[in-house]
Amino acid sequence: MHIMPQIKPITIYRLAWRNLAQKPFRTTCLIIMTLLFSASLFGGSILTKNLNDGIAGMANRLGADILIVPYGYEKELEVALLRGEPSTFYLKADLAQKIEKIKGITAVSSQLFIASLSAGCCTSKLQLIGFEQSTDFVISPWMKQQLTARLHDNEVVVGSKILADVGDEITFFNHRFRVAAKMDSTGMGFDTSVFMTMDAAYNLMKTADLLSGDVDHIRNYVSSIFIRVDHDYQPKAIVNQIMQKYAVEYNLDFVMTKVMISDIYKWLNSFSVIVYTLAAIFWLLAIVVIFIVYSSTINERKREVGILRILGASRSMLVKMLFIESFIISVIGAIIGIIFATIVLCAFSMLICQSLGLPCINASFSSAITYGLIVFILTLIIAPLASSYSVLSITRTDSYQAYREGE
Amino acid sequence: MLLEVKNIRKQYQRQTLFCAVDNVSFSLQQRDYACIMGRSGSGKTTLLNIIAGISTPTQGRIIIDNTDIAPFDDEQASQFRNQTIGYVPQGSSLLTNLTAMENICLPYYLYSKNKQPDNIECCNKRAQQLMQMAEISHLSEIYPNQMSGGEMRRVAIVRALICSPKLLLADEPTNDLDDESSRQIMQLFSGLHSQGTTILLVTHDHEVANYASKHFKMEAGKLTDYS
Repeated sequence: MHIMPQIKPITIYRLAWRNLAQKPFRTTCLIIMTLLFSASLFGGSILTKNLNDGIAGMANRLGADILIVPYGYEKELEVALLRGEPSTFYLKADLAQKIEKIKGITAVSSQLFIASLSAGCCTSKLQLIGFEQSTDFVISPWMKQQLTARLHDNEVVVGSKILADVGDEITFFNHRFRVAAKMDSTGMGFDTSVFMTMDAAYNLMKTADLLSGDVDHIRNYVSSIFIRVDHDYQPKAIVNQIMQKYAVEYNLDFVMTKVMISDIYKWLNSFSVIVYTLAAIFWLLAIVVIFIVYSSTINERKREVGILRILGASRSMLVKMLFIESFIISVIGAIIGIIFATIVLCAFSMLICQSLGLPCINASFSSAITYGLIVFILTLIIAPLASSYSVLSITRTDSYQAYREGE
Repeated sequence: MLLEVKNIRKQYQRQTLFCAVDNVSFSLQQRDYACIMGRSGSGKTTLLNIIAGISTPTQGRIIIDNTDIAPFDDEQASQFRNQTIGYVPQGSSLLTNLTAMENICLPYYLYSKNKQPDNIECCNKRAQQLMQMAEISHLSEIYPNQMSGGEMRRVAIVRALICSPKLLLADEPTNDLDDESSRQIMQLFSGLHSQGTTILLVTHDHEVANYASKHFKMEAGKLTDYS
């Protein structure tokens, strides 16, 4: 005797699944179309947000309105700030004492940059930064929570991406330093920098023989002078004053942080326009392709729809079944696209930011969820929207005529 | 009276006004086995579709089991068709992505809100009984593309019976089938009739018509002769 199978109820939902499963190639292609949109929009949006937050964070935290560097080193400083790429340059330190008397300047602090050799903590060179604790207004605000006591000459503070913890020892140029604190992520080049007292930095330079020439007067040099300007004064006017008085003598270059940030924002705007244009193209492309695919299968589906009508399925049931099919395509495409973009971002976000030369701060979980939901909803409407014409045209056809035409 | 067809007219606007069914009236009692004969294009299938509620008439009324189906909206008409009428359409009418068993059970679940195990068991049991009666139990897990024409037609007949319809309609049930398969199909209809099912089939084949006890003839949309 033949043993009959116990089948599960054939519902409208199950039928929709079966229809999709019956055409795996077509279904996969349609899912890929929606996936391209969701991945590009989600990935692009999160990356833009990461960059935006990184730049905004940098603008907020930099604290200085004007940065003075030796002539021709403007770009090096920007790169050091943005990417943490090690560089070494010097200008005479006494300039700091001279310019602090200029009206409108509220704070002046110097920093000394040293490009390290590879350290035990890291696979590549690091930017070592010596800073004046007494005058500093750039680094210290970020270290208040991590560093309670004054930094000693045998101690360093490491950026968030340095693989060393508080209490560890790091060696630079045969000098051992204890890690006294670790900074929070800044999204800037400071994340891959190591900070020490100015004395420690001079000592390091001297014993490591890093400066040729005026070695005996090594303390006469710094790499950059950070200036904070009173709100009532224009940084540009202050720069003009410094230029007039000291540019020739000291051979100076200036970085106006607002101009630098504004240039970066301009670039970021262009970047986001490209991202959203690309996403819009994928969105339209997905709609057009799904519309064409569904339209081309109208005749093929007429037979199936006709049969279901004959068996007693109402028009609303059929519309529901066909829309469920397209919803499934959209949902799968949206989920895979968002997951794919998340994996790519987790793996390569920092690499992408570094290659773009811009600071990044990873989006918070709640932001990612919000973006994910928006992308999910936008993706969700693709397939039902694109298939609506075909769905309505199929279900409006006379049932028996549809069945016979589809045979 | 199980079926009353009253003054049914169906007109189409082609190049001129075309009357596919012209003022047709007839009735069937319960347990009747009737056949409408006629050449291709005589309006048989159109009349059958109107009776099934798939197509709406230009004029006239259809009353099935004392229910006038004219005022029904699509939802009501569809549900009525599902639960009162079994329809075996011409040709291969099985869904190719479902097995024979799934095809058969499909109409049962269209309006069944109750998906409890008892109800599923009930459907499976009825499908098994009908398949045994039609001698197609071995096809339960087979997909239509692996079946012969006769097997597909028998599965379609069993599917039409799954909701225990009061009226079974069949459109050219032996069309395209070889003699042996045609004979098996007609024996199946005879068996169903002997169990009390009311059957109305349309055909152009005299041999098929001979199985019926009540005969109508259709010509150019008119029901011209009956016995």
